[in-house]
Amino acid sequence: MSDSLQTRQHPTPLADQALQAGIRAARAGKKRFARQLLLKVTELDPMREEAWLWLSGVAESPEEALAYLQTVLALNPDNRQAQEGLRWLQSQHSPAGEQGPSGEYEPSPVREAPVATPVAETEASPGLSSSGELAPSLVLSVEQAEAIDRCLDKIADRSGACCIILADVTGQLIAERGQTSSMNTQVLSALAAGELVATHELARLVGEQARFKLLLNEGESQNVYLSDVGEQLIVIIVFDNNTPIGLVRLVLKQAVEELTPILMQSPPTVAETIMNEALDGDFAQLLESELDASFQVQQA
Amino acid sequence: MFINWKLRELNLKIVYYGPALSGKTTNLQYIHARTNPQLRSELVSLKTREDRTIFFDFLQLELGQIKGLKPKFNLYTVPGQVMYEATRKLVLQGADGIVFVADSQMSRLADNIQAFKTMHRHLQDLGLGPQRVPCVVQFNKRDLPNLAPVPVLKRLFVPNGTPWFESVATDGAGVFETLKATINLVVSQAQQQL
Repeated sequence: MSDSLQTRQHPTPLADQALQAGIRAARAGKKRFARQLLLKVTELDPMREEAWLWLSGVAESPEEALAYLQTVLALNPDNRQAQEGLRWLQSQHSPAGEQGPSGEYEPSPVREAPVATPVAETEASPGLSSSGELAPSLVLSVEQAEAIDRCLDKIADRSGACCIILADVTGQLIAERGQTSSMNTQVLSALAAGELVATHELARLVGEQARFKLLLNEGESQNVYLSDVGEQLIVIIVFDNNTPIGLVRLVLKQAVEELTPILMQSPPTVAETIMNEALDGDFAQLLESELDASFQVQQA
Repeated sequence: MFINWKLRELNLKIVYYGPALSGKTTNLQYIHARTNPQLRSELVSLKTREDRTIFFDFLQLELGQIKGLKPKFNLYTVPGQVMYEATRKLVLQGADGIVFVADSQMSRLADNIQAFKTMHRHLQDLGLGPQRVPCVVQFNKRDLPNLAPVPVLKRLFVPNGTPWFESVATDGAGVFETLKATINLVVSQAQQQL
């Protein structure tokens, strides 16, 4: 998948011939014919900058020419002819209300072989997570799930929180305890994960070396407390004004200590075996008919 | 992927990725509108006053038990606008499958290319190679004039063997087909991983 944009740099004879014929036609002023030929080239070899560049010269409208030039620049931001063409095109359109370009953009003849330069990656990489690699998947055994529930119950009890939710940093809900029936806890988890990562990014932007570890959303009657648990997990505690925040923090600290060893255990293989059996064979087929059924209900 | 053996739940995350205004949210809106309400969550959209996605859209599909397992699919979109680069990377975290929604209009070709490349860079940064995260490609807005020819789009965005679909997400054409193909790939990937 990732190679799709990078591996098409081998010249193909047919594309070469069509390109040369297209350029000849463009130079001879046979725009329509040139367009046909050059479009053929882009079908055969979409990475051919020259073809897109010449297409911009025989485009039917300034918008189309602009698209072709932008394609060249997407493939190779350093392509000078495309840069010049873009400037020319923009200069023709800058004053508001002016009609189409008075002249016509003609790319200068390209004599060199196509420049198969991998496109420079110019955007700065956002400093999101320090860990980079994420755990591929999380499988909780019955015992683990029960231990987590007990632990969360204990926190809710001790702190008097309305509810407590364990999620992972990607927003996946893992466990929930307390009064959650009226809440969409899956969405809450997704939002909380987003909020925490946003604060990590904030920390980075203001030059904080560590991460902001917790986040308190304070309301008039309800409060939401978010915190990391290690690199992968987050805890969300919803509590009202009867619960002192200090207590929530204290209890959370203890919870983190208890949760970590539970999650470190690898799930028993027997669960995996049964899961494997369930996922084998006709699972995909059954899933498909289940999907069809769920869509069709509303389609009629 | 998250499996809760106690609840016999299999949770999988599918991310709709693509350039700004390519129709990612529209895909989710259509799925939301046409799916049995008992099997889906509400559609949560975090958007600006101008109706542009600022954080993500989220929709959960929960199917009935299949062989004792309850599959749940968490569908996300990323915000397409260039300035939300960091958010896009965040939403990609933990993805089990990706739908790349390309805007078929000729004038948007360059944006598609840019988005496609950035997506792969993010996936690489996150340690999610193509072997790990299957991708399905959707050429959206096939009802509009001045379209990029399908062979061009295929050469640019569809590596060998990748499923691709033409679509008009505003009226639903191709939307379920894309989702189903993605779910199939994601589930068979999960089968391999377990």
